[in-house]
Amino acid sequence: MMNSNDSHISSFILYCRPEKQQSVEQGLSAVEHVELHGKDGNGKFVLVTEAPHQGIILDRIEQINQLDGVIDVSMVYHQIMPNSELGDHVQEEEASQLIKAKDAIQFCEKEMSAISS
Amino acid sequence: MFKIFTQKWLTGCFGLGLLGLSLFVSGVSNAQAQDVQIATMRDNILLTEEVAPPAIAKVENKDLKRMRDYPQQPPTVPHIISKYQIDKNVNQCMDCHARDKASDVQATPVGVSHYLNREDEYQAGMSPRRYFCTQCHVTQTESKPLIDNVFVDVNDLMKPAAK
Amino acid sequence: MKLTRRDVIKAQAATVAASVAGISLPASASNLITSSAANELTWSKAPCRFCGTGCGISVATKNGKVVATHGDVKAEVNKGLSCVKGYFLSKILYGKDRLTQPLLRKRDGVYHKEGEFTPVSWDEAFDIMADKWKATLKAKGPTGIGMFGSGQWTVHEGYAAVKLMKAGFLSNNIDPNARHCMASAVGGFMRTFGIDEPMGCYDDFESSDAFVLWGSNMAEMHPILWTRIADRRLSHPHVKVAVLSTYKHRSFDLADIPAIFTPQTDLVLLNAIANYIIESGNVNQSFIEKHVNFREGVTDIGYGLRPTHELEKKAKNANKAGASKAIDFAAFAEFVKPYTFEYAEKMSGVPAANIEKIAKLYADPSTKVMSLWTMGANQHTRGVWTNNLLYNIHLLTGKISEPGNGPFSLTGQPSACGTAREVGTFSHRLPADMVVANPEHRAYSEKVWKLPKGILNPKPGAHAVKQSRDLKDGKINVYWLQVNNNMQAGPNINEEMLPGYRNPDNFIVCSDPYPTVTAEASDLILPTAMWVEKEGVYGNAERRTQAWYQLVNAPGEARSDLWQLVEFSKRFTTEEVWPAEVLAKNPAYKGKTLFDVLFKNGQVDKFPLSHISQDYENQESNDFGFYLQKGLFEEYAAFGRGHGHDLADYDRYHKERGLRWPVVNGKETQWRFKEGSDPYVKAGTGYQFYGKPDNRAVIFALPYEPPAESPDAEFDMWLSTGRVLEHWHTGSMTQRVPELYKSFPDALCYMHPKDAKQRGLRRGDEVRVISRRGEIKTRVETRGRNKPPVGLVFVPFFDATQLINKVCLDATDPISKQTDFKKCAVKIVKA
Repeated sequence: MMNSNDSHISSFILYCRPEKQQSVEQGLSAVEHVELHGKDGNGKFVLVTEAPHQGIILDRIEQINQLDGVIDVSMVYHQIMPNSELGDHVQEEEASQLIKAKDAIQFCEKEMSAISS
Repeated sequence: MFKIFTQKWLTGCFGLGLLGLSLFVSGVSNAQAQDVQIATMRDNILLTEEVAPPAIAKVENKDLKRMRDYPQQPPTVPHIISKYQIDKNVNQCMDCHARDKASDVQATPVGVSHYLNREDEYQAGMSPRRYFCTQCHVTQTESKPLIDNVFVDVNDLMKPAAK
Repeated sequence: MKLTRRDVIKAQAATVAASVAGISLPASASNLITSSAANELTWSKAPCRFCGTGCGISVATKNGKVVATHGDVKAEVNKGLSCVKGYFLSKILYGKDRLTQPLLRKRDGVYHKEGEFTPVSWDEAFDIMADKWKATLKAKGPTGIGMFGSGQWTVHEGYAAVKLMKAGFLSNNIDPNARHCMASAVGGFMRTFGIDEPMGCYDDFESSDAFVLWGSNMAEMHPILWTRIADRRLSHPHVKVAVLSTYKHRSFDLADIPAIFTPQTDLVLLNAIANYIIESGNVNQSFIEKHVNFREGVTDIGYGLRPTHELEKKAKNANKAGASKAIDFAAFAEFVKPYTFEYAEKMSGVPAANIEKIAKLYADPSTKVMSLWTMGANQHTRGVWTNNLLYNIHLLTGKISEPGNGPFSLTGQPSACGTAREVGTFSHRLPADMVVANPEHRAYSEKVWKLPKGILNPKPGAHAVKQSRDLKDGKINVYWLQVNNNMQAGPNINEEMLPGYRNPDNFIVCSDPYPTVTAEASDLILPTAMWVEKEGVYGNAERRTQAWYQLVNAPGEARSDLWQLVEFSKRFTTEEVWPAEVLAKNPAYKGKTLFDVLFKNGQVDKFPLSHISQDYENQESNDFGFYLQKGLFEEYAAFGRGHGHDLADYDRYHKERGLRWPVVNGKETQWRFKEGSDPYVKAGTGYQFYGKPDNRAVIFALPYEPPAESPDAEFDMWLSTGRVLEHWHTGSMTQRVPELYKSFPDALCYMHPKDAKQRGLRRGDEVRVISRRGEIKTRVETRGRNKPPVGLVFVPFFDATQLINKVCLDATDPISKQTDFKKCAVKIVKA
């Protein structure tokens, strides 16, 4: 299953005590290979990381969990891609296929889980 | 290739499913003069004319689940339901489609959404607001629509991307 | 910008996480994503396109197409639910026969009444329209032109249409198809309360102890409101549901008290209930002393037929149908005294014991009761009376305007309230409940519209049924239909409709997304953008105003009704349509087009394009150079603000899942007329029915009168028409969705098995449904969802191949002018 030529890209939501968010943000900058993509100013952060295998990602989550004030780190997205493809240039058109929720996403999740389960 | 960690992530899955695909609708070309009988739903009958109506359409009763156009679409009923009682006393649909009975008869259990009340809280049983199944789930007759619909369904869109 | 796959996946990962967390990403992260907005999968909100419930819908778009729809979980009305039609909304835009170019009947290259439909440019279409309009205005004046719109017009469209007709062409010959649908409800409100639309709201569903349906089949026609009643009834065992109808239908599945009554005898049942409330000592005396007046209406008011019809010649008060005189409570009590349960049973066929059960729900002071009705009460030659009598029983008991207690008039179209009624697209109305016959109302409208003083036409125009008659008689010669399919939905097609459309003197224009039977009967067809192909606002039955953005572009050259109306106004100068003396007195208006004076008037064009959301298209505004919808809405809102019809700022509606007017100090109003919940009611008064000058509602003494036509020896059955769950109105949208089509493909004649047997008919046999006016061919159904009593058949009107309205009578309520589609006499014979 595991392939050393693959790369794992994941995103997380970090929840921390709002009063600690500055120190948490500082602490995050010290964690290698973790990118901060967004925050709500109220203790929530969106993080993205990339690693050669899943174990490293779990280690990083653990490391972030240790920061003072962090309540929870939960993984949202995980994609595995061959390293050889990650550097490819992509068309703008393809890039723009990404979802942007103009109106908070409400994809009838419950219905969906019924289908997937 | 993907792992699903939250239900909402499925939205993303659809986003990617749509990668690189374009939808198109072929509009009706009106390059030439058309007949005066243009009311397509009138099936070429003059407005002043009366013709024999088709026989009462039979309800499809093959028990084969049908593809949905998008995940939110309530599945159509693949069997005859005219004999089942659905009133304030009894809901016979649930004899087979209730969660605890569906596996016995290999029926589709009702979606978990049906356990949510108006306040979006899960109930032990099906929410009464979903009680009358036929408001969303309808049978299909063996009739043929008079006009094609050129909507492109999400399942078709996802196939090429799934590889 | 060079992007790698890594960048894309990371952005994707971040976006999904951000959306789960409810965080918006900084610009740097989202640049990547917004670089080609048209190609994203986007979820937006819009109200449903179908009935008056006004469900919120989440709409997904992708590559310029709608790809999915479902109930909006954030919408108060439906909380994530949707009926089967709502779930299939995605597909109504994509019938293969969408019209994409104007089509004009031509022969040898020029317009010809009997020509074939030929594609033309918008320019050519508007050229011939303008020619015909100008010639007619010159020859006949403003009464020679007509317009028939709809409760499916957006607020903007209805408002632009009213302005173009009433302020531009100075013609009051504009009416909506809501005349067929809600006019009696409006008449009832205006007579009883002096102000239109329900006092309560949908929140009542969750606190009522009893629901009484008067001739309404909510299970099929208002399925989502029915889910709220089912929810309440099934989770609170003390709750009772009473269903009254002329035939058994799906709503009876939830009924604790079912009642099948003889057509027209709802008038008797309502008076019997009023009598019981009085005789059982359950009148809320302090309420009626403080808040109610009593009046007795004139009787023998005719049936709204042509004045030459025998029934009209016989009617004593056909010309003053709405008149009434003041009486007191004692006189009212005396008036209803003959309406005993025994008499009611004899007239209606409902057992006295069942009538009593229903009466007790109203009479018992501790039972909160909601009455609900739609077409059964409104499409009724005594529709206004029925509405008045319904209010009577709520006013006698003071069960009104409080949570769980109230009379609730449901609507059939998505903006019957918001557009047809509030904007005032009726032939006698102006915005915000004002009327053309009132000089003060005209003066106020002229001021808001920045028009020369005294220019508006004081004479009410032709209503829906009269428009058809005037077309047949050659009094109206040019006619523009938008968002309706009247050749299928209007009454007495053979005798009173088709002849007018095909009258060689007349030029008929039909705007529609699809080639309907009305389009086929017309001379020029304009291809129309529908639903989320344009920005719009609808107003639902609980006074909730809801806005949506343009989410996709219309196919081909299809344009919204709004664009068509505003663009057409450019073709006329004030000199061509306004009297010379008005222009002589007001020279500033000379040399201007109707577009200049109606839309580029410093108000409608006040908001620049930069006010439009950057995330959405807006075809009309981009074309005209200003934010047209916002300008129209804000000018329109000026009519109602401070007058009990307050609307919020336009932009706010794009953010909210609708707001219920009046919206005062930013807050919506759930229960009107009641102190504490309605900002217009003064402290210490308890209630104020402020539509009336003395703040009192009116209880009306009105009797039973027979219908226009009843079964006799030859035409021995009642015919009732109506809808089915899967199809909406004439099916021009839902019949093009394969799943809905296949669920209910053809109309059927629902009939009692005994009636069938008596005529030698079996289920599935081909029959002719014949009246004095016309006939159709259909098939007998003795099973299924509708179970008529002996002596009545039900035929739905969605099927274009079986135009049941050929059979219907064009009798109307003489006060509201609304057609009675629910009762006429027919015979059924084997084909």
